[in-house]
Amino acid sequence: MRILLEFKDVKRWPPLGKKGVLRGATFRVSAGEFVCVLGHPSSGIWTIPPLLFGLATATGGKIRILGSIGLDMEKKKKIAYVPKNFLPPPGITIREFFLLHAYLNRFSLPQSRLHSFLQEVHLYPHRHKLLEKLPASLLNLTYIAASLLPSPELVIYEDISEQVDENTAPLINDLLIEVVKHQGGVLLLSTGVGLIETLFHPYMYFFYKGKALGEGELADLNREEETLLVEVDGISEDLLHSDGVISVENLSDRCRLEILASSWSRLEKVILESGGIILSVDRQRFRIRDLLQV
Amino acid sequence: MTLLLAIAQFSYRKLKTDKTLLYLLSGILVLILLFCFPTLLPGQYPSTPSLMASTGLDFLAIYIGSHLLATDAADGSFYYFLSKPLSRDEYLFGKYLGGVAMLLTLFFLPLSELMAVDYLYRKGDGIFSFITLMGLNFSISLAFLSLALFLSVEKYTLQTLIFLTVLLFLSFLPRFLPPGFWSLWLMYYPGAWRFSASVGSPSKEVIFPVILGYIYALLFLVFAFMKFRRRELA
Repeated sequence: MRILLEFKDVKRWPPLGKKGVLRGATFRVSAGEFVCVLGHPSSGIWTIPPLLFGLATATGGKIRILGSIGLDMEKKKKIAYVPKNFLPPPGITIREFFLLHAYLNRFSLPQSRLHSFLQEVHLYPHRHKLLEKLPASLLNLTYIAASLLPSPELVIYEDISEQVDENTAPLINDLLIEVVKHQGGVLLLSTGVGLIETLFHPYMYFFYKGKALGEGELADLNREEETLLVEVDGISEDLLHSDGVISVENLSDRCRLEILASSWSRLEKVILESGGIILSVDRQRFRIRDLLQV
Repeated sequence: MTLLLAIAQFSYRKLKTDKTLLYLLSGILVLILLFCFPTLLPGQYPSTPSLMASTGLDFLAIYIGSHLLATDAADGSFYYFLSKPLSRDEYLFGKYLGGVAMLLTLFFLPLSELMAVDYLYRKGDGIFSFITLMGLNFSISLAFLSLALFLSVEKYTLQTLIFLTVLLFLSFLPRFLPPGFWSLWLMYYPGAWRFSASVGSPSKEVIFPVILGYIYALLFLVFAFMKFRRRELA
């Protein structure tokens, strides 16, 4: 299956004063797939779009977009993205917003095509309404519908469920099903599980402290994970970026590592071989849902 | 071109609904009325409403320039636009055009009338001088707009606003220094010509500072482009 987007061990240490740490983010969206990257707002999920669109620089790893590394104008035309805090341009109607979208995406949108599409998404009766006067759910539907013109290959939405109600959810559902049917990919970046995530049962990546802690289905959120809090004296640089290391905290004379229990035997060897001294090991159990705080 | 105009229109509409800008404009107009019109008594010369209006316009230009990118960053439109198939240069230039359009609106609607009233009151030496005076005022405001945009590219909106406002008022300082400083100042800062232009009738030699004002505006804009291309936007 064609891979539309792939983050492979992507790391980012932001410049001083800026947010958005990634410690080896890995996930993939293939054609015809519905994927959700789920995590707490500070888990690094909001760093994914800036890295994808070249607005921030990764310090390591690879980002493959639509089959190759790098993003050019042609690829950008095939990606639809709606940021979560996006406010409507003032004084603009639904119809005008679709036209603005067409200008920005450099495609022509004849009136007949626009009107038939608006009818399809049930926005035609509202076409002359100002965006700022629309209820949040209808506004969200407008953004999503506009982003799907002209048939993008990859669509990325942020916290889509927050502004969806029972009336618009089936419509959005139909639109997204169409994308997936036409071998497009849908990527949701979510800080919680809402209507859309429940409707679609996307394949999920659970993000925690800048990397995917695990992956699976929605039900896996209730899965229990065991992590270890390990205090080490003398630690090699390589270990900090190893798989299984969730976070590193530098204390005055030692380091405190949070490690996935499943990676412990491998990491223990690495620590001892590099001359580190293990001072203490504490086990803690979490449900993934509690750990992600979603 | 349509793309640039679409971004410019978006930017202009956003500025049009910016309440702070409206309050600032109202404040400036009230100040001018308070300070200048009481002196409009028979036989008396009003205390330079043209100078106040043009300084006010500079301040508004600084506000517009420093907020062009900041508002987009705050409401997500920054990422929305830059995820579209357009370059950073196109986005920045579109935003700048929107800012210039707003500056022109402010210039031609409320503020230039005050300059015109001032000018007509003094019965200047012809339409050429009047156009030169207007050109001078607009070119300086445009330079301030570009400078504010350039400085705010690094996201320091409030610092830019405060720094440039202080700079704007400091630019009057050489007027009170020995004449040598003043003539030197006239060579490099086109805004200094407003004193001579507002007190007396603007003359043909004002064309030089008008051109200098536009050169500054262009230069700061180019710097803004260079800086914006390299900036981390996350």
